[in-house]
Amino acid sequence: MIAVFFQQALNGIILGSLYMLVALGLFLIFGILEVTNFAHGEFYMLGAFATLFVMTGLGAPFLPAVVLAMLCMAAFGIVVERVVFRPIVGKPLINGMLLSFGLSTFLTNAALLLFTADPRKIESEFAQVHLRFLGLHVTLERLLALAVGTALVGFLAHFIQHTKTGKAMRAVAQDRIAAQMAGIPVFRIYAVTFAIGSMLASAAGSMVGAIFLVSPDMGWTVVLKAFIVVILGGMGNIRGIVCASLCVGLVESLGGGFVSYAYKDAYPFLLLVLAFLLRPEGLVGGRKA
Amino acid sequence: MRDRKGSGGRVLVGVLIAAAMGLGVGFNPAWAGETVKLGVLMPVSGTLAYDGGLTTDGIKLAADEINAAGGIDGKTKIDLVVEDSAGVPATSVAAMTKLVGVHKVAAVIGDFASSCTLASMEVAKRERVALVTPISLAPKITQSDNEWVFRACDNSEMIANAFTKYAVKEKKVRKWAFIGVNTDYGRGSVDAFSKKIKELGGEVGMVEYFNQGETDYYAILTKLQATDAQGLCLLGETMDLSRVVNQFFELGLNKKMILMDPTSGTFNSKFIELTKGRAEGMIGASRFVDTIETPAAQKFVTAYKARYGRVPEKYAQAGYDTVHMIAQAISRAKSTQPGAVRDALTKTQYQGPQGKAYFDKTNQLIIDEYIISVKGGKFVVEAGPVKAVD
Repeated sequence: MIAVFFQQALNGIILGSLYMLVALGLFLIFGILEVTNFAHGEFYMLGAFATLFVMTGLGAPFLPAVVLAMLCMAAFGIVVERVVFRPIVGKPLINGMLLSFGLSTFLTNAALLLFTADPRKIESEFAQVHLRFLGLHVTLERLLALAVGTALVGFLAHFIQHTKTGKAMRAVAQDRIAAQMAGIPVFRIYAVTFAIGSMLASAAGSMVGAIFLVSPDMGWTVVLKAFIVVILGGMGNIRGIVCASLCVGLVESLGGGFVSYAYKDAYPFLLLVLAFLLRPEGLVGGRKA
Repeated sequence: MRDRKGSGGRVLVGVLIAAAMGLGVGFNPAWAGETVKLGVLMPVSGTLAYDGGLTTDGIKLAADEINAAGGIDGKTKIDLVVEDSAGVPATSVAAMTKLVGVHKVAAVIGDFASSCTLASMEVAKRERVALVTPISLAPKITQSDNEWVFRACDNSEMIANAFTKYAVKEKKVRKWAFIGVNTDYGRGSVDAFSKKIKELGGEVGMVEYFNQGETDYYAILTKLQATDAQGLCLLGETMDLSRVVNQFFELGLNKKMILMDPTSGTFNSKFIELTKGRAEGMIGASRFVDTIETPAAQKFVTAYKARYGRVPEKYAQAGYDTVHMIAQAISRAKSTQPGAVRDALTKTQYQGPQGKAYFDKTNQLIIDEYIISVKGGKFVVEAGPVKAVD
């Protein structure tokens, strides 16, 4: 029983680390551009397809393919920001919501048309490697997802806290007009934000594509979970997002394992309702970091 | 000024559309006998898109075959109108309403998911057009006294009847676990199977449901690992179940129990590709596999392979057969009027790739089952044909 509990907890943490990568991008884009990007799940889907095509087209191994796909998606993110979201800067929140919703539908259907509904699998070298320790069971592929998640969040935290661009991003998040007056190139910061968000989503999508499958409709469910994570995290800081994504992964896994799996998607929402009632300021509290 | 101009343009477009519609009705009466419109209500998008596409491919093959031979009775060509139900009941109802109301089809083939068929069969009843599902397995569909709905395939009770006997008696699976999709099909099938298993003296242990499009099954499989089940019975479709089977292997459960897919939702080449040999030895029951050696079956397999470059499975076969059954009904009825087509459908005596088939009093197709398994990446017949009704 105890072994089953720890196995479920481990499953939950790995799941949470994947949600975390998607949620971080959403959170950055929301914090800095004030756009609730419903199309973020499609960035994740496109990232997975990019990795798949780099691997099948160039014959690249898994990890270099993921990195290359992240770079492609960064470029894609910059283009999307410039072409789609730049024209609505400073407009009410609803514009961004509707626009991103439309973009999401467009990208899903474009992918359906171009890549077809055929589900595909990214064949990484790590799937066949099974690890056993302390009675727990995990494949190297899943462990890799956890490692990549941890590494990327570490990089991101460092980047935002200690680099000039990171500081500029925080300044823009606090007050766009003031940042602009202080000479920060706001639009360049927007582009950087979209690039980072797309890269993180692409990394998560590639991991998921290897562990599970790649298909044009894979983005939608994950983006809903990522929204829960961002709201639970209190919209405030990276630490909040990390805690919230682990919580969401854990309640899904433990609830699914010990209560009923059919209602697995309901548990995070239940958690959200509880959080609103008990800790409306978010899990770790505070508005801005 | 700009506003006025705009509305003027819109009025003009409106007039043109109205004129075009008037002309359309004037020159092309729907029931003139030249063409007959058949509605196809299938998921084109969403998680069922791949499986739905297999059925639609079978439907198109049959329609083109009939049209190439000059049409039904050598004169009435079939015009297929495909609408996307997306595997969502509400979308299915909207698409069904459009097929009947806008396209005025003679009959509708669909839907794929049981939940969608259950929703759309109410529209069929209200609008008095036959809805023939080639796929949906939930027993409820033909047990709810709706004379406008037909099931042109087996149902989960029939499959349960044929399969559980084989699994319990031949394969000695006494303790069963279920992982099923959280839909009318999944839940309906688990009920039908559990009943039969208990009748045969077996036990039903863990029963878990998942939602369509689910990716991570470690939670269920970890739970399964702690049970003493001898066989895991899967109820779902290609995409979801390929993930279940891959993760089942990752956790090493294949050494503990045998895998069964009695409704053979996964017995297609895509599944073999996605699971890379992990499906080896999986057993199931199916109304059709491409290795059936009758001339009718081999003719269909050859034609399908030539057109699509892969072998057909039961989803394509059911779509193919359904078109032929409806075409024969139209021929018998000598009419494309929806009511006449429905009446003629009830008198179906069909001989297709799968074998002999007819509808019973509840519009349920009565056919035989085959027990099949995966060997060397191919689907082979283990036993059968087996009677599916006592």
